[in-house]
Amino acid sequence: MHYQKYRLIVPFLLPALALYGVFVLYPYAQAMYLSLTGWRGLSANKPWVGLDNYQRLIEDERFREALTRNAQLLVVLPILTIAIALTFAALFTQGGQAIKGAGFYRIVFFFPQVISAVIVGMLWSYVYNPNIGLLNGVLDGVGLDALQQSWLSDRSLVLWAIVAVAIWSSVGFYMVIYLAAMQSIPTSFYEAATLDGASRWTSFRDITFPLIWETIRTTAVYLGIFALDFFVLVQVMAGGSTTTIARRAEVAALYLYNEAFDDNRWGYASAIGVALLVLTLLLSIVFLRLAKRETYEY
Amino acid sequence: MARVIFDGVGKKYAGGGANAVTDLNMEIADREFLVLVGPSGCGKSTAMRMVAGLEEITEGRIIIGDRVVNDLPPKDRDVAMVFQSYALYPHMSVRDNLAYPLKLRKVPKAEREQRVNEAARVLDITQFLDRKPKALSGGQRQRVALGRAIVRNADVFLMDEPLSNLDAKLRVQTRAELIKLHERVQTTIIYVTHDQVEAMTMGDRIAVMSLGVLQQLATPQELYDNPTNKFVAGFIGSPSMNFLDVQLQGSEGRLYAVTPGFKMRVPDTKGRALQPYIGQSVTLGVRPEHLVERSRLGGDAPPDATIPVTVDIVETLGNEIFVYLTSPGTVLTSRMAPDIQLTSGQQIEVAAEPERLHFFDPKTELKVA
Repeated sequence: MHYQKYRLIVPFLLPALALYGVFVLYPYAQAMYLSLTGWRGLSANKPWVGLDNYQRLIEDERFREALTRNAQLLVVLPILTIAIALTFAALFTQGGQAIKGAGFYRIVFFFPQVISAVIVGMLWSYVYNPNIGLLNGVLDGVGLDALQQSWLSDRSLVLWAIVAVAIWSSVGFYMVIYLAAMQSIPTSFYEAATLDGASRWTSFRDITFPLIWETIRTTAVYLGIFALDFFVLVQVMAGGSTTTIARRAEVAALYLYNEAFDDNRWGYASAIGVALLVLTLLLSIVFLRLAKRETYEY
Repeated sequence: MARVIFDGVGKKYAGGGANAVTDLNMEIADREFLVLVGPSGCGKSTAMRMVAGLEEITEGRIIIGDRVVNDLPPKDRDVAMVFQSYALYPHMSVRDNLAYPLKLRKVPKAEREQRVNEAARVLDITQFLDRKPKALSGGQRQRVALGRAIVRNADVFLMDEPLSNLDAKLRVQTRAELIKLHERVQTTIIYVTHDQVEAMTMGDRIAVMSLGVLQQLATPQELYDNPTNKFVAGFIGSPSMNFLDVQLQGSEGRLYAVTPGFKMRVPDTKGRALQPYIGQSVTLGVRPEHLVERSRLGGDAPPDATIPVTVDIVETLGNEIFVYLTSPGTVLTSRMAPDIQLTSGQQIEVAAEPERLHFFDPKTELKVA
């Protein structure tokens, strides 16, 4: 019986599995193999070096610094994005129902999500431009010119200026997800809570938050993965490996890119990639386990 | 200690359309068990939700105790509500569900525990206190929902179809428990249902609503015996009242109700009120249980006060039978004792006691006699 069932299922799955194998599994395997070589990218010669690349990685100061930045992002990015997105979502719903005009805000807030990250990066590079940028212009206009900065060329600011852009572009997406989760909570819970004496804040804290925890947990993992990658915006807004300022925003994925494309150390870059993969997987699993709660049906 | 007064209360939703509730006037006495009943969309839930403060009052006033509550937020109205879906917080244990309203009201922990335990004992849910709602059966959840109202010691309990998610057997049982509970907690209860059996069995008084308008507010027996209009007459009682369009004719000082199939003498007691309708049509209403085979009528029915009919279908229920009768132009339902032997196609005569006949104005649908 079972055997017959699988005989039917397998042919249907094969095309998708084949594509997945060729475009996902094979590159992973290839990267793992390359990480054990000293390949320079162009030659057909891929000298086997065993675990040397990994040995070097552990001692590599630049890699450690890059990872430290990722670690900072891992804390800051999910917390801020979730907090802001939740706030907006909560403001746009009341008692489990969307308020008037929520549809409009939802679309407006979602806009950045449909723009490609490269364009977002370029756009904000102009906004941050110290001389002709909108941000300094506005600060000047409202008399806060003391706060004007060279946002992307200030060592201590550059990474956080980029983080702000990342949050700006992803808040809308997460807000939409939280809105949907909040709207699936039955109105009667809020009505009961209102009669019980709950304010809007206590309803949120005691009912909304625990009931959408599962959604928050999932989005936190997305954001965590995003924080461990964070390549595109940094590459676009502070790219170029040589300047010291760009170095101040170099995250692990950008270091990987620089090693591969600028310095032709493909074997070493692959080792960075594999290390990132393992780290991401481990952190995701650990987080999902730790944050697990009972699921609720209603 | 709280009466609830509806004073010209109206509700119009922002979307426009007809009023959900129109000019509702009634006074619910302290500790009364009032049932709001009517078909879906009749405004009964809206009326109750206005008491709770979950709906704004468009016009008129609602008074709880001595306070006009129109502008009072729900939490300050001292009302507790049992929802149709129970609305138990799924992430909290039964204990926390019960304690939540007390916690929000900053009741000290010791008192909180004591009140929760007391409510749990009354409702016999002590052994479930540490479970989550999803681990409870429908009946147990229902009791927890009641418990959440009880711990509040609220002046007014609002119940929105609290039994409709229970199976038939449990519903009958819980109905009785609710009546007992009301005797015990001594609060004013406003109970919304679409089920007239629930209404009749539980209510001290019943408010029948239709299309946002209060049709009649009376005791169950009064509603049954003396419906003010055709809607109430048809809504209360199961199977529902038979309605026939008859022509009123007077001859030799007597009144007759005439249809293409029969000519029935109208009892003299009804004659005076029906005088203005002579020569016109009226709606005759008679309950199935009051329509009996002629020989079973106590006393002698005058020979011309009966309706000749043909037995169409006989449904046996054991303790009673439903007989569907036809007469040219009309179909009648009768509810009879099971010992009567009737077969399909049989010709019989049926009649009702004079006071069991109701006459309604066909236009206003108000009862005229």
